[in-house]
Amino acid sequence: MHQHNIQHIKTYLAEQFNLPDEQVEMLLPSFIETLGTHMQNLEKALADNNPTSIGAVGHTIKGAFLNLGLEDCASIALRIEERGKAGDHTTNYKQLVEELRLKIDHVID
Amino acid sequence: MAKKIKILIVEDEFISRTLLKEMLSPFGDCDVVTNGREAVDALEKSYSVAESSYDLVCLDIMMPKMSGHEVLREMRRIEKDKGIYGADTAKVLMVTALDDAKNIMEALVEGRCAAYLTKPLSKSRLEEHLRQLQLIENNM
Repeated sequence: MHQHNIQHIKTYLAEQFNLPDEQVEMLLPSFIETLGTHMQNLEKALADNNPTSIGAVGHTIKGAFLNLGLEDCASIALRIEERGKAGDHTTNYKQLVEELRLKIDHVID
Repeated sequence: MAKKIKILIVEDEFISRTLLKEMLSPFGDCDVVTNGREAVDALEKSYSVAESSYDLVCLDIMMPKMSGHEVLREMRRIEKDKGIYGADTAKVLMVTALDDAKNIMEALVEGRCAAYLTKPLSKSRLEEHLRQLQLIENNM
């Protein structure tokens, strides 16, 4: 499974937003921390077993992933969002969140 | 030197909010709020003081409690109540993920918003919109 690294995010931010390296270095810690918070929120919604909440957090984290150039993570988040918003109780959300964890845990930790 | 514009950024997600502010700050003074209720408060306040209304409102659509659509309707109602019409109304750039873009069409067709920007955000696309909306000059 493809894992993301910090350098990928730095390069994306610099290119997409035309940000100087110092600015990227300054912004990155708060962005990484935010990703960690979003993942915690996703797991809280998962623990509550509430598809609507799971879908709402899925939407939020999808936008965050897109803005950091993490498109494959955003695709998983979109699946979580769509199925959650549809009120689907049959989806294995835990497995989808686990897939996200495998891709970004080493970035967040 | 180009006139600085007054901008309101309405976005509940930190990363998007921060990047929008980074991109827009060179063009004007940015106020930032994190939900729809704060947005309506900021807009009401801006209309109550002469020369302080916003030139541009960047409005996220999916926010808890009050959506971007609700903020937009409320904003246009306040403008109507204040007798603000046509070119004097604030230009609204709605922000959403690409797969939600269909949600914007109604507001766009009815003229409540001027344009929309999809996530992932992009500096070049944002600046293109600002030029089209004549908020910045063509050489910027």
